[in-house]
Amino acid sequence: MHGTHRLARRMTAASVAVILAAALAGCSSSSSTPAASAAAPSGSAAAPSGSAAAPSAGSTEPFTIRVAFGSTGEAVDGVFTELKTAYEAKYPGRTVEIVVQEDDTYETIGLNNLLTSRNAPDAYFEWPGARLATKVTDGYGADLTAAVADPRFTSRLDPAAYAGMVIDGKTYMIPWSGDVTNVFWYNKALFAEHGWTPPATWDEFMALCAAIKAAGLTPIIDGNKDLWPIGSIASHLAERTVGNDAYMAAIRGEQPMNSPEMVAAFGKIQELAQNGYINKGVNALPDDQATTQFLLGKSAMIGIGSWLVSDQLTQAPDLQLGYFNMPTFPGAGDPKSVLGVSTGFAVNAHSEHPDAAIDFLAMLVAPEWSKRFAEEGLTPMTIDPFAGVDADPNTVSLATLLSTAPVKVTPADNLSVQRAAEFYGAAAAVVGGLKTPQEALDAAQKRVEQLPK
Amino acid sequence: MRPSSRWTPYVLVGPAVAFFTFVVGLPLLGTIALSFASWTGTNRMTFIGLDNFVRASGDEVYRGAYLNTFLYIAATLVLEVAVGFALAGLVSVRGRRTGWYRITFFIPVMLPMVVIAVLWSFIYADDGGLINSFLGAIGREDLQHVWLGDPSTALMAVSVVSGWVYAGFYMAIFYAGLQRIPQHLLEAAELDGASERDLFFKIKVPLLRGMTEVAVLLCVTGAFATFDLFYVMTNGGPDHATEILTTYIVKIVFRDHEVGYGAAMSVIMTAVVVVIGMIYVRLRRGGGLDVEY
Amino acid sequence: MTTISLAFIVPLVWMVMSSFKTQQQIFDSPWSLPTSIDLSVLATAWERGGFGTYVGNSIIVTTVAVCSILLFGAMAAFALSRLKFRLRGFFLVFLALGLLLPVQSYFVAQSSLLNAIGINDTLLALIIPYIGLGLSLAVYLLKAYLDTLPSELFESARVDGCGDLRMFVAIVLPLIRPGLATVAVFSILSAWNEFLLATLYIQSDEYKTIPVGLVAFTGRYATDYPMLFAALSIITIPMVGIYVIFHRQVTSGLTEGSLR
Repeated sequence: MHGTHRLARRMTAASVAVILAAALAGCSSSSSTPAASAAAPSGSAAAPSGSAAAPSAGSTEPFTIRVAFGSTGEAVDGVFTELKTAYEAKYPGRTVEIVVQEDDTYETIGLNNLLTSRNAPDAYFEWPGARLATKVTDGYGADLTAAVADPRFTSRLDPAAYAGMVIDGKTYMIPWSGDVTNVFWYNKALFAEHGWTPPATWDEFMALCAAIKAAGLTPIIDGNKDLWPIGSIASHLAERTVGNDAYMAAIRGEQPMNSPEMVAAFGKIQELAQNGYINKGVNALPDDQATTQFLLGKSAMIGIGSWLVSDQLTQAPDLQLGYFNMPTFPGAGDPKSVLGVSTGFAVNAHSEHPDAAIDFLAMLVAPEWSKRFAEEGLTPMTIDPFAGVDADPNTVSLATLLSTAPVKVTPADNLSVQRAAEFYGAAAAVVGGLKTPQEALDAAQKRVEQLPK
Repeated sequence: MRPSSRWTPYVLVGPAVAFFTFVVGLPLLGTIALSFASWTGTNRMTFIGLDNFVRASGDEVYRGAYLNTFLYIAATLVLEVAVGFALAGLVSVRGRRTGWYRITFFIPVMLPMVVIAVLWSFIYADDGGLINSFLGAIGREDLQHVWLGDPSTALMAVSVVSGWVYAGFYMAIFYAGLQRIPQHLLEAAELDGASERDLFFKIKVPLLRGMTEVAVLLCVTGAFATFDLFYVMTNGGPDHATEILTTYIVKIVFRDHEVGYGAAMSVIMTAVVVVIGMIYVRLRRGGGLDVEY
Repeated sequence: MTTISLAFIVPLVWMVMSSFKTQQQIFDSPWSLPTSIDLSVLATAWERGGFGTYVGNSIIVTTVAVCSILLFGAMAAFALSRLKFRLRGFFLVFLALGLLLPVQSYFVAQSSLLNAIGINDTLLALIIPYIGLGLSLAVYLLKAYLDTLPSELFESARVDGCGDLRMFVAIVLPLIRPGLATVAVFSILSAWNEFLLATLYIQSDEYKTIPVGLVAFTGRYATDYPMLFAALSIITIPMVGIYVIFHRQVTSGLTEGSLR
C-alpha cells in the first residue's frame, strides 16, 4: 500500500516537473527550436558550426539550401527549377531544395509551419511591410544590409525597390517581383465581337456589365474562397473613396472601419452583387478555379492581379487579354492610383548557410534570370526588367502602370493580417449578398475592437 | 484476480499510461496553462489571467461555432445514425441477398476525408458541378443553388457529405447487432402474423437500445472533433456559416498566432464536452460508460 | 435499395471517369463519359505528385502506430480487466477520458510539446500521438472483450502457477484475437486517414502522409482537373479494391468487437 502511494506521488511529481520543463522550453525565445534542429540528426552533412557568418567558400562539405515560396503557376515554378540547376552547376557541392506550396496555404499557415519545422528554409518568399516586420520581430529575418551593398545587387536594384523592406535602417529582403494586385481583365476578342470597350468611369463600368449580362454572359467571375480577391478590390475601392491615408489608418486600427465613407465604398461591391454582375458562387470558388474558368471563356471579365498573364500563357496561350484599372468615381483618392505590392525573398536568420542563400538570391536578380521570369509573365523589380525580353505586352504595360502610379495602394492584408481578415470578411459578406455594407463593416469593426492591442 | 506480483500490473499498464499521459494528459494541462497567457509561439509569454476567456465569451464567431457544431451534431445524428440504422434494417431482411449493398454502403468509410471533400466540392460546384448541371438538364434550374457559397445551404451540404460517408459505418454496427437477435424470436413473431415493419419496430429497435446509445456517443464526440471535411470544403466560409470549433481554433492559433486565446477556446470546449459526457452518463440507464471498478 | 446504393457509388465512379476527360469536357458536360481511356494519366499523377513517398510514410506511420496500440492496449486491458490493484480505478477513468475528449482540447499544447523535445516534422511526431490517441479505444474495446470471458480460464492458469506476464502472452493474446482484429481495423483506418495532426505537425515533403500529400497536390494542380481526379482515383481505387477483397474481415472485425 505504501509502495503505490509513493509511486503515485512520485508519478505526480514527475508529471509536474515535465509540464514545467515543457512550459519553460516553450516559453524561452525561439533559439530553442533551431538548437534542437541543429542538434538533431538532419539530412544535411554540414558540421553544426555556430558561426553562421562564416563564408562557405572555403567549406568542402556538401550541403543543401532550401528556398520556399508559394506557387504562382507552373510557368514561374518552372523557372525556379531551371535556376536551381544553374546554381548547382555554378556552386558544386551545393544542392538547392525548392519548397513550393499552394499559395494560399503558404500565406496563411504554410510559411509559418515551415519556419518552425526541422528543415526550415534558408530563403523564403514574403511580402514587405507588416508581414516582414513580424518575421523580423520573431527572429526569422537575417540582416542583409551588408549583403545588398555588393555590386551583384546594387547594379540590379534601385534603392526605391526596397520600399517596405527596410526596417530601422536595416535591409531584410531582396526585392523580386512587383505585382499589380488587382485590375479588371477582359477577353479582347469577345469585346471586339460585341463592340464593347473598356470603361473609364464607374458608371461606364456598370453600363458595360449590364450590356454583357443582357447578352447572356457572366460579366465578372471571381473566386473568393480565400477572401483576398474581393478583399483586394475592396481595398482599392476604399482608397479611391477615402484617400490612401485614411484607408491605411482604418486598416491599422487608427480609425474605425465602418465610417459612412467606407460603407459607401462597399456599396459599390453591393452594386455588383445585387445586379448580378458577378458570379453567384463567388464565395465558394477558389481563385485559381475562377482563373481557369475565365480562361475557358466562362465570363467576360475577371478581377485579379498581374500574374494572370503567367496563367494565361500556360493555360490559354491564344487568348487575347486586355485590362483596365479600377474605374474612376468621385472620391478623395487619386483616380490614377494602382493597387500593387512588391514582393521579395528574405533570408532565415537561423539559416546555417546564409551566404549560400544570398548567392541564390543574387542569381535571382541577375540579368539572365530576370529575363526568364519576365518571359513567364512576372514583373521583376530589377532595373529595366524588360530589356531584350520578349515579354508579354500586358506584363510590360502593367509594370509601367505600377511604376508610374502617383499613388501605390497596399492591399489590406499586407498592412495588418488580423484586421485585414475582418475587412476582407466584410467584403465577402457584401459580395455574397449576406450582409449590407453597413452591417458587414459594423460587424468587422466590432471584432477589430476585440483584438488584443 | 490478485496479481502475481506487486509490480506486474504497472508493467502492463505502464506503456499505455505513459503514452497517454504524454499525448493527452500533459498537453491537456499545458493547454489549460496556456489559456491564461498571451503567446505567439515565439515571443515571450505573458500571464493575462482570465482575459482570453472574457474575450471568448464576447466573440461572435466563437459562439457561432458552437451553434454550427450543434446543428452539425443534430444533422449527423439523423444522417449517420438514424439512416445507418434504417439501412441496417433494410439489409437485414431475411431472405434477401444484401452482401453487395453492404459492401457498397461501407466503401466511403474507408476513404480519406480529403478525397471525399475534394470530390464533393466538385459535385456541389456552382457552375459545372454535378448537382447543378443535373438539375439544369432536367429543367429545374430553380432548384440550383450555390450549395457551398450560400450560408443557408452550406452547413447542410457539408452535413450531407458526412452522412454519405458514415451512414455505412453505423449500418455495419447496427447490422451486427441485428444479426445477434435470435432467429427463433423473429420466426415466432412472424408465425404470429407480424409484418416486416412490426418486426423492425417492435423487436429489433428495442433490442438495439444499448448499441444505439453507444452509437450516439460516438457520433456526438466525433462531430466535435471533425475537421478535415470542413477545412477542405469551406474552411469555415461563407461568412463563418460553416465555421466550427476546430477550424476556428486552427485559424486563431496557426494563422493569427494567438496561442493563448486558442487554448482558452479549447478549454471552454473541453468543459462543454465533459458536461455533455456527464449528462450522457446520467441519462443512460444502467449507468456509466461500462467502466467497472 | 438499388437507388440508394447508386447514390453511394456514382460519385466515385464519376471521379474516376473524369480523370480520363479533358479539362474542357469536364466543364462543359460533367455527366458525359470520356471519349477514350488513357491510363497513363494515372501514372503521370503518381509521379508528379510524388505519391510514392507519401504512401511509404503512411505505411510506416500506420504500421508502427497500430502494432504499438495493439500491444500496449492489450497489456493494459488485461491488467485493468483481470487484476486487482491500486490505481486501477484511476487508470480506467484516466484512459476513458481519451474517449470523450476531442483532439482540440489539447492539440495546441501538444504541438508545442513536440517542438520542445525536437521531434516535430518527423514521422515520430505522428506516430506518438496516434498511439496515444488510439489507446483509449483499444483499451476500452479489449477490456470489454476480456470482461466477457469466464474467469475460470485465468484462475485455473493461476493455480497452475502462471504469472501475470506469462498469462498475458500465453493465454490472453490468443484469446482476444477477434478483439484485436476490431481494434486493428479502427486504428488502421484512423491513422491512415488522419489529417489534422498530419497537416500541422509535418512540414517537410519527405515526411508527408497520403492525406496531406493529396491536399498539397490538389492545391498545386487545382486547375488541372483531369490530373486532380487522377490523383484522387489512384488513392481511392486500391483502397476500394482492398476493402472489397477483405470486406469480410473488415466488417467482422468491426462488428465482433462492438458486441458485448
